[in-house]
Amino acid sequence: MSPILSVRGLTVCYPNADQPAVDDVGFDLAPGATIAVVGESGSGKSTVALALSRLLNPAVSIRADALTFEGHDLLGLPREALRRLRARRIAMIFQSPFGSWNPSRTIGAQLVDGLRAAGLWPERRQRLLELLKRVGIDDPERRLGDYPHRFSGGMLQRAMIAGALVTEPSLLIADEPTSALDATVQAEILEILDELRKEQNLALMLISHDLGVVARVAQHTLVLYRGRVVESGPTAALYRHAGHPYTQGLLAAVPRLEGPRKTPLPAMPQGTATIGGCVFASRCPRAEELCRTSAPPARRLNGTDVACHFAEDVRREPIWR
Amino acid sequence: MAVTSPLLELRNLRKTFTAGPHAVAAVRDVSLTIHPGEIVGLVGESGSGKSTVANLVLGLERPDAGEIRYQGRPLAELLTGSGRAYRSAVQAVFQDPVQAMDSRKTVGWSIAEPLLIHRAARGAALRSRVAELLGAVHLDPSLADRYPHQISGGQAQRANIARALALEPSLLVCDEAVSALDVSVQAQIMNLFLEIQQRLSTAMLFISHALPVVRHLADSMVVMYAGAVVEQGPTEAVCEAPRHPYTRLLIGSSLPPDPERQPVRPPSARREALPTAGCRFAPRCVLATDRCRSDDPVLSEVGSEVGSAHAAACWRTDVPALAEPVRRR
Repeated sequence: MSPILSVRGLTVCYPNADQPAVDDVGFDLAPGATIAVVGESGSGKSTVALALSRLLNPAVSIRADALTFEGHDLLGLPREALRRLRARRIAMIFQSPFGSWNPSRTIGAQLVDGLRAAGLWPERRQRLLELLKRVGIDDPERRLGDYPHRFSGGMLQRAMIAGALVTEPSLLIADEPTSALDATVQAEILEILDELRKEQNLALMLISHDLGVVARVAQHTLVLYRGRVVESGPTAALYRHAGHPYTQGLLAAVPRLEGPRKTPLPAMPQGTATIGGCVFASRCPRAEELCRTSAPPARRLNGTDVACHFAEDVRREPIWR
Repeated sequence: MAVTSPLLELRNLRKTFTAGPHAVAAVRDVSLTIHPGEIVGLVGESGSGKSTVANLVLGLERPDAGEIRYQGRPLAELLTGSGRAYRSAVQAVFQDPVQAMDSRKTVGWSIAEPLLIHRAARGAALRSRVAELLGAVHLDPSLADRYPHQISGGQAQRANIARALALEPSLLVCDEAVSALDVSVQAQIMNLFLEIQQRLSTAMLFISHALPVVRHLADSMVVMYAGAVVEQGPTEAVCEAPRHPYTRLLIGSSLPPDPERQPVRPPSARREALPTAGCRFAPRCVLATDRCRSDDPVLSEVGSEVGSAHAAACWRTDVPALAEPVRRR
């Protein structure tokens, strides 16, 4: 199946930065598929999401060999065409439930704005009410008259999802959609989102720092470190046979509900950026001279693409587990 | 835990906040005990009252009812006058490491401040004590001259911990102390807390919304929901044999970093307005009966061994399903 979203060599530079925030990122997303971009703060994961929808300040330089969505070149598209695409075909949801809503207008008014922009008001009114019910908002007709402060964070994210999906987009970009929510609410919302995604054959790009959420949601995962994809592949393979020291380090650092406790967690040392070599070299116990001078290209190895000169060794003898 | 006299005891604490016509019982009848050198984990979601418990222990709020005793003496008594002895013995570490520091003061100054206030050191002795504290949290002594915005979040949290340790406290109250950190930094700071417990025998009240974090660090744990303790006991017992439906829902909602071991979330009803009587969890509980909706459940022992101190506040703990492990797919 041909991908709906195809990204090649995406590179984003903020003004006055000496290193790109996103450096040569590429992936394909098939219709209805799920991909996660996982990384820590400063990895560039949110910049990837913003670059795809061209929501970055014009002073930011975005370059790519290809950035194609449903046959459109996203970088070359005129503003108006891009606006129409974002209103109908590409939906986005963000982390902060309160920051995403205008506090001085009702939930209903803001959802109607979205439908108007897509040219779907009032024809999708009934569908909006149905979706609000599906995501867990009882008595939606009454609740639409409420202002955002009358909603909890979880309810605002639910309403956000309903508003994002009512135009029947083919791509949803979700940047930490449940990170501000309680775990029980997060689990419920992820389940609802997954059901709706399947029903609407929606492709999902999830941006997250949470390796548990990614494991739950995504079929395919990219691990981003300092703007570079250090490892990517099917989520199950990547978690089971991580071939990059950074992927191993991330997975090993997460406390779990099973296994040993009250023992030191494997913790990666801190480090600084290495210019010209592997971005992870200064934190990597396995690093050699080669790592500090030459950036490793991604290589396919046991099902994942690993950007490490010594991926075979690292996979055979994990650095962190 | 061995039979020692408790370091800190909370007995039937109650704290109600009022806003206009509304009264919210943030903490309802909470009792817990921390022994010297013990890490007690306090887990709960937003609105559970866990931070109010922290503020009560720190003396930042006064309870409406109930009592806190430190080494057998009532807190109300210890806090009369300057309360200096208690305030040096019980120190806090909060969630946002950079915000917790004074942005206009150097890291070294922030660490020295409690020593100056409590007249514990001055001059050359003060400088060497600050360097020693930085070493204890594995920071380079040269960081003393930096300002908070010049260091990383992980370094800032280490500096906050150094500051909290300056007066050699017997208890650290850690309120979401690792929640804002990246996973690799979080692991380092969790390791530091374990090291502090082992090396300095500092007891901790470790408050977090993250169950796996609490499980990793705590010797015993307390689960709060809507202001009340719903389950408590040794950490292994609570995490491996959870008996309260809410604890089970928390475990089933915790997503491990493993696509092949995802939990099957226990069924739960939709969240409704919090009831004012009976079990507060009843509207979300598929096992709830009429009794649950009318009578407040009391904490009672659920452990198989007598005296195991594993207790849950649930009228339905006899339901066999609650004795089974939470399922994973």
